Order: sequence, then C-alpha cells, then structure tokens
Amino acid sequence: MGRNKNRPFLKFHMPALALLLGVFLLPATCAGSVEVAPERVGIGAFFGGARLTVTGEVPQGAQAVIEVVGRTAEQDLMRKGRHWDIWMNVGEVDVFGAPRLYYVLSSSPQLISTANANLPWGYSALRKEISFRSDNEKLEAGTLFEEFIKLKESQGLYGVFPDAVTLSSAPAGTESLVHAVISVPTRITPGDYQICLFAVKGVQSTSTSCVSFHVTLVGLPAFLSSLAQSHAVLYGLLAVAIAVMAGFLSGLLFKRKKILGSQQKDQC
Amino acid sequence: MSWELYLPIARHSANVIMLLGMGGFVGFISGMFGVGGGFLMTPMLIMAGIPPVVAAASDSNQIVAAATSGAYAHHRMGNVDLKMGCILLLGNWGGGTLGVEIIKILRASGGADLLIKSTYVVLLAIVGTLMLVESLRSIRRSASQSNEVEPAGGTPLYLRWGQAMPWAMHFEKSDVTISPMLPFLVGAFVGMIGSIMGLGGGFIMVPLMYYLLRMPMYLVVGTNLFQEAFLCANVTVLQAVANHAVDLVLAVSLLVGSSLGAQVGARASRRLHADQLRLLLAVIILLVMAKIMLGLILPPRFMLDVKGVH
Repeated sequence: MGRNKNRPFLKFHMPALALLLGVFLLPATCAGSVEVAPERVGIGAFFGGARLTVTGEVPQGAQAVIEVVGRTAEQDLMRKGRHWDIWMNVGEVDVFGAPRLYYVLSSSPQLISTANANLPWGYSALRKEISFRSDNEKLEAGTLFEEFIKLKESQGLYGVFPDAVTLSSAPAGTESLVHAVISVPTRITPGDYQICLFAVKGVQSTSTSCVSFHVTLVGLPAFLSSLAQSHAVLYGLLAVAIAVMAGFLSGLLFKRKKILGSQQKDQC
Repeated sequence: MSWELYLPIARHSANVIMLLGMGGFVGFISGMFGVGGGFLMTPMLIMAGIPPVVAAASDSNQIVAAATSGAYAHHRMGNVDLKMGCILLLGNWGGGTLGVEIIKILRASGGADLLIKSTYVVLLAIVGTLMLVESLRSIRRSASQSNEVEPAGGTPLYLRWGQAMPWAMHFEKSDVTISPMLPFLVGAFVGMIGSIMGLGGGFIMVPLMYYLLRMPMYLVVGTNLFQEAFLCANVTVLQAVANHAVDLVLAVSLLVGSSLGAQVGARASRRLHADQLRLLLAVIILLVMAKIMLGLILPPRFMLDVKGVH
C-alpha cells in the first residue's frame, strides 16, 4: 500500500491534478504510482536484512529509475594518510548532507551512468548534495567523495544497480509495470526511508512518484537500545552482573563436572 | 530462523556461531595464559565489521566473564595472590585515569594515533621477543639437563631498585619480599598503557609480574585474571555511561564462548610446562604485532574510516 492511499484528498483529486499539470506544465512532474511491500521493517533479535518489493507503473515506452534515500545526518570520519612511511589516521572529516542509505536502481544501465554528470539521481546528483569539512586543508574534496562512496558501498549502505528494475506490459497496454526487489542491509538504522520511482524518456524524468517505508527496532533490541540510552548506569551494572554470573556459572559447571567425574572413577 | 544476531548498540548483525567461536578461542587463550585477551578480541571484532568503540567496550564486558571464570578456576587451585592482586588493582585504576587524561591532551593536539600505534608495536615487540628468547633459553637449558640454576653476574638493576624501595613487605603466597610500591607502580604503568591503547593490558602485566615482581608463573596467571576482572568491570560501567558503547547482546554471545573456553584453557595450562606456556604466548604476541605492523606499512583499503579506529 503506497503513501498516496493514506491521503484520500490526493487519491480522489490526483487524476484531475495530473491532467491540469499535464496541460500547463509539460512534462508532468507528479504522476503514476509506486508501492512498496512491506511498508514496515521490524529489526528483532535475529535480523539478516529484509527484502522489499517495489511495484509501480510508468508510461509505455518510458524507462524506470528507482531511488531509495534515507535521512541525511552529519557523519564523523577519520582520514588516513602516510607519515614517516606509516599509514595512520591523520585528521577528522565531517560529512554533511549525506543520506544514511542511498540506492539507485534502473531498467537501463545508461540511466545511472556516472559519465553523465547532469542526471538528477545517482552518485553525480549526490556529489552536489554532500559536502566535507576537514581539519586538513590539503585534502582534495573530489578524492574525499570517491573514498566516502567506497566506504559506504563496503558497508552495503550505498549502491548503484543497473538493470535491477524490470518492466513488463500492462494488460491495458497504455502503461508498463515496474518491478524491483531491494535488499535492505543489516546495518540499516531505524527511521523513515523514501523510495521514488522516476519515469524516464531519453534522460529526462517525465513523472515522479514516491512512497516511504519505516524501519523500527522491535522486541529485545528495542528494549536494550532504550535501556542503554535512558538508564546507562543501570545498563552498565546489568552488563557487569550478567558477565560475573556467567563467569561463576561456567566455573561451577566445570567444578560439578569434575566432581562427578572423580566420583565415577572412585566407583569404578 | 536467521543465524544473524542483531546487535542493538553496534546496529549491525553478526553470525551467532562466529561470535561464539571467537569468544571460545579468546577465552581459551585467556584461561591458558592469564591474559584478558583484549589484544586479540578487539581487532577480531573490528575485522568482523563491529564499530571500533563498540568492539572495545563490549570486549571489556566479556573479559569480566572470562576473567571471573578463569580467576575462579585458578582460585580453587590456590593460584591467586589476593594481597598482590589488590595492590596491582589500585595501581591499575590510578594509572588508567592518568592514561585517559594523556589521551585527551594528545587527541586535542592530533598526536594520539601515532602514539597508540607506535606504543602497540613497540610494546608487543619487546614483550614478545623477551618472552620468546627467555623461554627458548629455558627450554634448551632443561633439555640439556644442566644443573645451572642462575647464570653468574649478580642481581639485575631493576631488582636492586625494587629492593631499595621503602616499606618492604612479605607476600606469603608469592613468597617474595618487596615494597608494595613496586606492584602499585607496575599496576599504574600497565593501567596507563592499557587505557591509552584501549586494552586490559594483561599481555604486559603477565611478563612484568613474572620478571619484575618475581612471582611464580602459576600465581601470575590467576592473580592477573583476578585484578583484570575488577578492572574491566569498572571500564564496562564507564563505557556504558560515557559512550553508550557496550553492546550487551554482543558481549553475552562472546562471554558464553569465552567462559567455557577459559575453563578449558585453565586446565590445558596445567598440562604445559611454564616455559612452554611462555613460548606459546610469545608467539601469539609476535603474530599480533606482525599483523599490526603490516597494517601500518601496507596501504589501507579505504582512505576514510569510521571514527574510533586506532
């Protein structure tokens, strides 16, 4: 179920709105539909990631691009460098405007080619949004962006997936059905994420439709995360108490095993 | 059911079998040699993708279990000098606090990373090489069945300094008469180095207790585990309060393995001769040192890294 279905006003007036925009503002900026299932991802005690299915429609003859974006947050990183032939951290780098998660998927590889710097999606678009602040003025921003992407891709949080969107003809014949599967990594942080479907002709987007999904902690992770943040002293003491008990318990178990073993020997 | 256990503070999943195996291996080393195993576990966790701050803090928590289990096993065998352990612990707390302040100053001036890495390599190299040479010499001596106990040449300088310190007292269990200032200073030195490097410092403490405090090897192992259990309990609470970095799920997974591994290790240690124990520990220390050296020399895979990596 998409976000638009939660908004009756938009649902009933969208066709009229789209027609109006279609007449006055060609090409249309908001049309079509996109849905994601499931809309909520719960992170429980065991979590191996999740698979989200994205479906939607684009006008026939159009290609499709899907962008998955998390909220932006300031990130503090360390920059490595070489001093006296030794590799070490040489300074801090603050990253601004970078989303927590960024995936872009397309039905055609040319649509997310890094060679085209003017695309409104993909790493070329992301480069314009992200800025870096470093205490070392000698560092070049271009290199930092490439290195930042490499780090995020290694963590599974950023990715470019050409040909990951499949298009098929709708029965009515006027639109193409869009289908894609997104693998959510285990490193995903709780919060809201937005999925946007772009219908593309040439390299121009002719319509955009967005939907969001929510990631939340449930069960034991939710309890422990809340306890660690709200009652840190209690949490620390609990951690120590569990460790001490586990240490003594294993000691007692081994002692008991040894006693039983020696009793059996005596009986023999 | 997925085998990927979610770690709520690390915000990342890890395979439960891998965590139990890592805990078991380090616990075995801990029980066998009387070291907390932080110098092994923290790098292993970072390699498994756990954020460094969470890896170090959660490792402290699991060391509490491994050290308690190991110390309890050694205490039952009469291998813990409580008097010596308490003085070492006091020094360790004092030195640890001093080390935290030093790191704060160095972080502000940008020299912390170089200090941490060079301290790591130099100490591991010195400790590992000394132990390797000494244990090899000792094994060769017993193999030749020589009756020479001590080479001529008088008392070493550091021992004379130790003997010159005031308020000498007798430690019945260890059967040594030294000033309590000596174990206090040893504890303070290890505490300072340990807090700078983010470790319990057992791999430095063990050789110092043996060579400088002249404690018998079987008491060194148990006594170090005793004081390390208290030290790491303190670090766990501090890390939970100051950084919210203790991942209880990660720590429990590791400690289940390490508590059992420590028991097996403590028993295995009795089957080996003291020289063989020292030789094995020396080899492990030198391997860890070589791994860190390679990390310093070879170009890193990523030029940017998560904050908190040493």
